[in-house]
Amino acid sequence: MKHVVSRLLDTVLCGAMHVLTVFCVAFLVMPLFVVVIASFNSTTVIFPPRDWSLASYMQIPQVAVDTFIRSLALGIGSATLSVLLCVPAAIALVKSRLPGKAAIEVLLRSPLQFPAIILGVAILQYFYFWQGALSVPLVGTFLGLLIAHAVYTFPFVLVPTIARLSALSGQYDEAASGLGAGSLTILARVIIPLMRPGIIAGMFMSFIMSFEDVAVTMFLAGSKMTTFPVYLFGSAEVSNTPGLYAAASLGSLVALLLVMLVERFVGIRTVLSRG
Amino acid sequence: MSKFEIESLKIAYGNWVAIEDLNLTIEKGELVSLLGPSGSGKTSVLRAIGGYLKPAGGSMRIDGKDITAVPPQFRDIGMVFQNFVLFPHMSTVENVEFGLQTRGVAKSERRRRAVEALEMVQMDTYLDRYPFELSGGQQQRVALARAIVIRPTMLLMDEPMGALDAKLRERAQEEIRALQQELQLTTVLVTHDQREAMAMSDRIVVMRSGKIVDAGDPWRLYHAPKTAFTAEFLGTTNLLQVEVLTRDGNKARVRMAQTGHELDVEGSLSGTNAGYVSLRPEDIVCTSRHEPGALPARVVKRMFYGVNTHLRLETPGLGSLLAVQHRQDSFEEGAELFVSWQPQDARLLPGDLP
Amino acid sequence: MSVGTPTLFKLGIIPLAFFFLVFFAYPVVHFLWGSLVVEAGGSSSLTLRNFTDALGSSAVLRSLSTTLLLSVLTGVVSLVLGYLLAFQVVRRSPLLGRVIFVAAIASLFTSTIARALGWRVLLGFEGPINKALIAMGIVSEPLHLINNFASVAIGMIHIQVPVVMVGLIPVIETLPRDFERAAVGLGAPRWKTFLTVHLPMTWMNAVPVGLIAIMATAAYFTTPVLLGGGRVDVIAIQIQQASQVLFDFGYAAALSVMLVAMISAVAIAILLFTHWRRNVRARGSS
Repeated sequence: MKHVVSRLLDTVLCGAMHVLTVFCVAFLVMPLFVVVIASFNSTTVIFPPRDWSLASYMQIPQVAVDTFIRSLALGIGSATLSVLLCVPAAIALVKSRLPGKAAIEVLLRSPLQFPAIILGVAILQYFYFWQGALSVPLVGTFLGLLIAHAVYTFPFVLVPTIARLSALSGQYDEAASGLGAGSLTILARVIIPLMRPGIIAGMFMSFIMSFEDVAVTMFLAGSKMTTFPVYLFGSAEVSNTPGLYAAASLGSLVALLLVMLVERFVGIRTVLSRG
Repeated sequence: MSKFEIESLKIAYGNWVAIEDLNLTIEKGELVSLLGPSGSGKTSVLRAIGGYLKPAGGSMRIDGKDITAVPPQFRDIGMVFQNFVLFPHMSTVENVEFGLQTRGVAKSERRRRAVEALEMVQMDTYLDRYPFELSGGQQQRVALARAIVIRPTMLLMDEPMGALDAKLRERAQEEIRALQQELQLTTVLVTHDQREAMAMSDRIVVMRSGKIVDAGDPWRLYHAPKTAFTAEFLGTTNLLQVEVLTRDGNKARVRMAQTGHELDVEGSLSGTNAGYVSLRPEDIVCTSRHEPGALPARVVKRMFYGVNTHLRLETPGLGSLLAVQHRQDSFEEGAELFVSWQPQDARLLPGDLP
Repeated sequence: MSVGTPTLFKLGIIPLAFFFLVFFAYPVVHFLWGSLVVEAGGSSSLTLRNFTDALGSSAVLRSLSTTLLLSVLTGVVSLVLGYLLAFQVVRRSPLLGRVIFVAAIASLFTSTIARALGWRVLLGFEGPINKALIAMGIVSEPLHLINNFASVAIGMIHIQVPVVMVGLIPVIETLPRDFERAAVGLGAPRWKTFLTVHLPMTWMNAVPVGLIAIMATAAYFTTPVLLGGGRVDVIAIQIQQASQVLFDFGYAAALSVMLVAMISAVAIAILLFTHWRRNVRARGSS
């Protein structure tokens, strides 16, 4: 009897688990669909839309487009800056006998868990100081945003590049050396090309983090120098129009396109592995 | 095509001295195998020759020129690694061109020489393939081409057949040896496979625990080894632990440690009375009829290998012996027979190094 | 590596180290240090006034408790759901696993704003969930599902579940299937196998992932604002107001220190936990 009850319980629980899984997947995905569908409203946001139209897409304000392009530029810029900073650092941390390597690495990874909002305020205060001291405008400038974004995103490049570099056999260096290559040649023609998957994964994560950031950017943006997510956030705080949903959908589209590209060339698993 | 000399080589890993006072000369155009079990230090010596390992002492010279302090980048020594280490992001021909590119060879000349090298290893139809598309045997050939295209003074190979299937190995051994002889390229090979060493080498250097135990051409090493270790490492042999009773020039009378049985053998020991007698299985003659001087034996196990038959024999005097028979009437298990051998086939050899 | 690693490689750390110190370490430390400083008429003095002010404010205390509650709730629920999903991805058929993984990734890489907007619609007064509940007769009037703690929690869980799932997949993958096969082969029902074989062997690696989710949630800003309608006050909002509205950086710094202290407490808990686990492992018990 106990055996039968146990088997029954087994089936029920497994069934419940499957149901819960389906529910979870729906939970994850529903809001994404809803945003897109809600954008097809023409006047007010209702679900399902009473009048399906693309009006909201036609009426996307210019400022949304401007900030979108700016965010793209910022994302690419901060990703590039991060790579330029992190690739040599990764090489130093993995391949050289730097004293205190382990500690330095932990330190450099620390921004990952650090609250973005505190970073935003701290950099704001810092920029105010230097603006005053050097008369160089920083708050509300592209340069200021670029620096802040690079600070925020560089760990996302550092982690996969270190992971990738650590996984590479040291024998490539030996083989190249025996064939007559000096250190710089080995770097340029062997090590860095082989790091490519890690670099691409890092650039991708860095771009996404930059493209979607609000917490850091909102302190450093200016009225004429805002990013796409900050603009969206500001609008969403005070209103709820279909145009907002249209803009948000387009933003998501970019992110998803990028994900597909990266999956095609590098594989999402590479991107997400934390080394 | 150069002569390579190693003098008083010392290799240490931290506080542990792996190799001390090693001396070795490799003649021009020779293929020398460093043969030994794992941990014998053979790979360390090879890496020191290539410059990948900095010795703690001693010197190395190519054609009289001291290269001890020269980094691998400038040694002009080609190296084939055990797992080939082809650059995965470069095609076959780009891999082979690498060494030429670092030497500043012009583009068209580079391509010509690379293709030429690949032709020598029959890989010229795989120019644009990437390493992951090639089989193990193909990768080995590309690795070889990459090493020889730079016209090195010497070629080093670390367990070259290690990553190949057994079937491919013999073929690869033939081809590499043929290429080496054609190019008259001084070559050092590291291997733990004694068959490979014997088949390919002009000279074998047997190493154990960081020391050279024996060195010479394969024939001599096989038929006239200097130590019991060498006798056992090359091919198969029956090693009998014995004590010397009387000596007479190059002959001796010894007594078996285990059974007390006495026999006459060739060879002599210096400085000790304890040693081993080596008797190769193929030198043991098995007959069903008694011959003068033959010992009785019984077949305990019979293993048929097609080309020959291995017989595990039990003898009252000499204990367990392995005999090998070719194309003769082989004996069944349990059969009683008689064994004998030529006097010079029972060799007295010193025991292993302390 | 026996080939000499040149000093050249060591120098590679310099650009990043410089950037890190100049644009991260110094600003952060300087800012947090400012919590101990109060400017009054051109002179500054070390004082704990910022902290006493903060701890004396009921709004701040409320936001701290809200943040803590939100983080722990989100962390626990995300851990459970994330574990479930990770389990399905690793253990079920490749097709199903792929579907789940893609769903999670799509969610992960959509901006938090878009996701919050989605929940705004779903949980809205005239949203589909309310409509469905009314249609099914469960309630007669629409529920207030939005602009409260519940909606923020749902939004945060939605954000953390994919992250937790991704973090747990390697944890579950490293557990060899043979243990489960052995148990099932010996006649144990699947749920029992899960509880007595699978869970004990993975929970020690799974809990740190949940703790990281807690840490991340505690610092969140956008979702609580968009889904809380001003009623859900987390510490991040307090910090933002202190700096952008009050321009009192010292006060903002004090609040930040409290947030960092809270997060660090959780981080230390993780460290101690993993350290303990390692010791337990070393001692041979499980």
